Amino acid sequence: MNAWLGQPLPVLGFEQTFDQPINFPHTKHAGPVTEGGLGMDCTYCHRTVENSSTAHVPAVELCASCHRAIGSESSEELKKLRESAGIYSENNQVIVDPKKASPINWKRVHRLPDHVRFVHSAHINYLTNNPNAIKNIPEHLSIYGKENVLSSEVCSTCHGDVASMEQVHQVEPLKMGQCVNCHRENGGPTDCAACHH
Amino acid sequence: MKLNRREFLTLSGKSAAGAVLFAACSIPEKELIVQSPVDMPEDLVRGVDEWYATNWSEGAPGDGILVRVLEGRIKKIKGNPDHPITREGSRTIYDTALQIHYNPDRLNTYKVRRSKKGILSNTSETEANKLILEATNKNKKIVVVTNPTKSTSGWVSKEFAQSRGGRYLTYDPLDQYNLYDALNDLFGSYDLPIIDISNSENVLSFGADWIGGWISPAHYSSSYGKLRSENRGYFAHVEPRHSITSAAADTWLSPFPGTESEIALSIANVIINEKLVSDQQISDFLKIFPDGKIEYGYNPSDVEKRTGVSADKIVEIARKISNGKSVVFAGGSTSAYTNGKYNTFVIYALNFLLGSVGKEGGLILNPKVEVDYIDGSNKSNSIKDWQEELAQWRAGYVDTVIIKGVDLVYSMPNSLDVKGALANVENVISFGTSMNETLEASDIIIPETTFFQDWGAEIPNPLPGFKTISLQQPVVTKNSPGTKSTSSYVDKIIELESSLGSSAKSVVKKIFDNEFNDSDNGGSVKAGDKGSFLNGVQQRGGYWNIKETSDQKTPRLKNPFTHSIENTFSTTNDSNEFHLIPFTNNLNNGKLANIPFAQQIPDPITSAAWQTWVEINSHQAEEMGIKEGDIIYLKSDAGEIKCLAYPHPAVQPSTICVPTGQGTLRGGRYSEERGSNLLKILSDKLDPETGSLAWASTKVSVKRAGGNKKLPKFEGTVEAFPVEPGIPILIVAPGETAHEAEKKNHHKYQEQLNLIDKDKNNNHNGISGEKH
Repeated sequence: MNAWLGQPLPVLGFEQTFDQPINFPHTKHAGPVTEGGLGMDCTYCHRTVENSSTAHVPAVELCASCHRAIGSESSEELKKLRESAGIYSENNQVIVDPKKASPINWKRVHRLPDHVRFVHSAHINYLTNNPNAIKNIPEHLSIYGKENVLSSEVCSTCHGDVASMEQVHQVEPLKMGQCVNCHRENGGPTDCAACHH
Repeated sequence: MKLNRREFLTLSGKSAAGAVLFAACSIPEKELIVQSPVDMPEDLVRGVDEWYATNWSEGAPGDGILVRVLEGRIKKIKGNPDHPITREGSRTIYDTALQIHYNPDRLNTYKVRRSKKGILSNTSETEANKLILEATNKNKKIVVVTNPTKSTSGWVSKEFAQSRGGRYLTYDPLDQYNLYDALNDLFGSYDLPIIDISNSENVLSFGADWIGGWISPAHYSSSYGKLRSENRGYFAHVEPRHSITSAAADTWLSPFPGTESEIALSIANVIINEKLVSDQQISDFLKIFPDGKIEYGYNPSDVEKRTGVSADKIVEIARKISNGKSVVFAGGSTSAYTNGKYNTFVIYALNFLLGSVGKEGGLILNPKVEVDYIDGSNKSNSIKDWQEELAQWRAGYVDTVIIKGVDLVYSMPNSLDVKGALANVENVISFGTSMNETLEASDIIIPETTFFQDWGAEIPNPLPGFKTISLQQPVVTKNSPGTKSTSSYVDKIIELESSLGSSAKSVVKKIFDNEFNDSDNGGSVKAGDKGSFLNGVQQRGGYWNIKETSDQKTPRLKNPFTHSIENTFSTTNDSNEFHLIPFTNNLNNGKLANIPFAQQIPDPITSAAWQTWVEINSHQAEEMGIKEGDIIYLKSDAGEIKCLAYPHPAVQPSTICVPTGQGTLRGGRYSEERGSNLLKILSDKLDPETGSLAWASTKVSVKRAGGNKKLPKFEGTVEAFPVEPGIPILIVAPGETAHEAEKKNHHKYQEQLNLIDKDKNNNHNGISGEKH
């Protein structure tokens, strides 16, 4: 029991993180421009988050759409990406061969049990369209007290400030209690079938 | 640390068991992997559906369809409103294709029979490919057989057969061979004209159940809606069977089978004698016939005796169709007697008398569309061709037969003994999505992809009056669960003969690249480059150009007939003989018998399903002591089957009508041991003019087999109720007119009316009371 309680955060899923096949820097892509990032919106890559139950990991082709031209040729991480996207140079020409492309096996950081159905689009749309609901969320979150929020700002409610993470890790417990409390405070449905279906 | 109840329970519950669990095991690696696709398919977005425009060449030839795909799975099919053939139309049969794809009896392994007397066993794709390569090498005499089609599939079949010095044949049970042949004589083309029912004022059809399921039913049923809207057009139909088309007609004539041409000539006789049309039209019509005149004996009263159709009705129809935009056409059983071609020729010739050829609301001739990489024919080979071909197989002159899209063993009449012929062919290679009798008699079976997974292109039959190419595109991957080992027919043939291209996709791309080069003169897709053009074609479901119409101004008018021809029936030498009128229903002559959706679609007239039934005249059935559901034997000169009786007041006496499609021996769980195979007992009577099977010229004897089974049907399962409140139900007995029924049921009818009136008064009083 001591062992369990002694290190509660990793055991319960907090701070859970992994080395990914490609060390993707969210700081570089989504970080603020003032801090050297590109300030990209989360929905640029996780483009189904507003209309689908899942946010979707972007396709390799989406990464390649920029990185076939942008980024150092000597970067080890970009080499891995270009290999996955089937991009190579030949006679000073960049060639994209879809037959040589292969998926990237990312490791899931945020993982809910199979018996829970979390619909991203419903949460994003509710919070962006109901500013009043935001007043009930924890004060430390960046969107607290705001009148109008963007979809990408809503993400931080559960995922934390991913734009500042060198390696993405889980910052919220994402346990049933947290879901139920938030639903209660914001007038969300609390019947079992709302999530377990 | 402040804990709420839920957090406390979570911690205390996990602290004991969880510590042990987490120490002992970790989360399996595979559960942590989330794979990013190389190219994100749009239809993988959860909860968001995508609709793809494509084409189902085998099941609904020519029709444009839209397929709904959700999370990579096909969910629904409907008509493509953008497509010039389907327009706003749709068909129940479209959704049956879902169950071809998801069929639990779907083939997903290669099978091989290692010796002619051996059994079929599963094999690897590698071994099967090796055997197929051996069986189709350049030294082999090869015959390729498919369903009639003018498509990329027809092109590869024809080219491959020619590359091996072989032949390409097609087969269709209940074919329309005579229709194509007669139209070729009249218009110089085997391409069917489009019947412009939408813009017509009067329609006269013979034999073709065009609202039910004749050629291009989605197009013609939506045309029927247009005919009946606004200025309601007149419609007469001539057919021995009481089909849905007969039921929808303003005037339905049920002639003795095989006498349809006499009715057509009698109508012509009335129009000419009464000078109901211009002299020019009469002259155009008469010059089709020998010596420029119709033979004697076609005045309505004479024809009434020979056809059983009232002379007054003939005169009435003649007068109606002479006034305004009219069209006359034939098909179905009218084209399938021993005088089928003659019937068809004479009936279509009436359009010259009415001045309807090439005019709005009449017969619109179609352009001759020749496209590279699309070939084949919508006209199947005749039974005479097949008799000669099977003789070659039987004699061992053919090394390899490749069969796709047609179940020869099930659908050819007994007299051809195709199974015996196949036994003498060294290698029979068959493609199929599920087992059938031909696959069972094959040596190598290739599990086939469905049209949802393949590329293809087809020229619709008939065209809508202008050039049209329908596109078939994959809407789901080939690697869906249960279909990983399946192969595309076109891809497989291209593998065997590399000169045909690299893949079905490359062939389709070449077709539309060529169209892009010709697309400057207007068309359904405009684009700046070939890639964007193909994208446009994929979005619309094909490419068409309304400017590319027929340039044919004068008909060919070749009349092969020097005199009238009468129908002759086969005989069983039994005193109790009936004319047999076979008809096609949603089972598509057995092709969809293993599809529950197709089985359960009720026949629109009898409401029967899941069985083979016999529509027999109610009075005759009563005389013979036959009740609904009685098991009866139908015996022809070619064989005998068992069916369930369905006495029906609207069936011509001495005629019985039976649907095809049941009785398959190897179709899977939904079709085996269900009903009987009518196609097997069709007599080998041919139309001597064309050599095609006269499938409506069989006579059968009818005999009770003893026993009775409940005929599955909707009719009578729900009590009649007034459709509108206040309108009582009038019960009309067989043989009674509505007026007679009203008189007979007068008291009951009146009683209901009174009750309704009383009810109304009561309600009215109640409401008034409340108001006060």
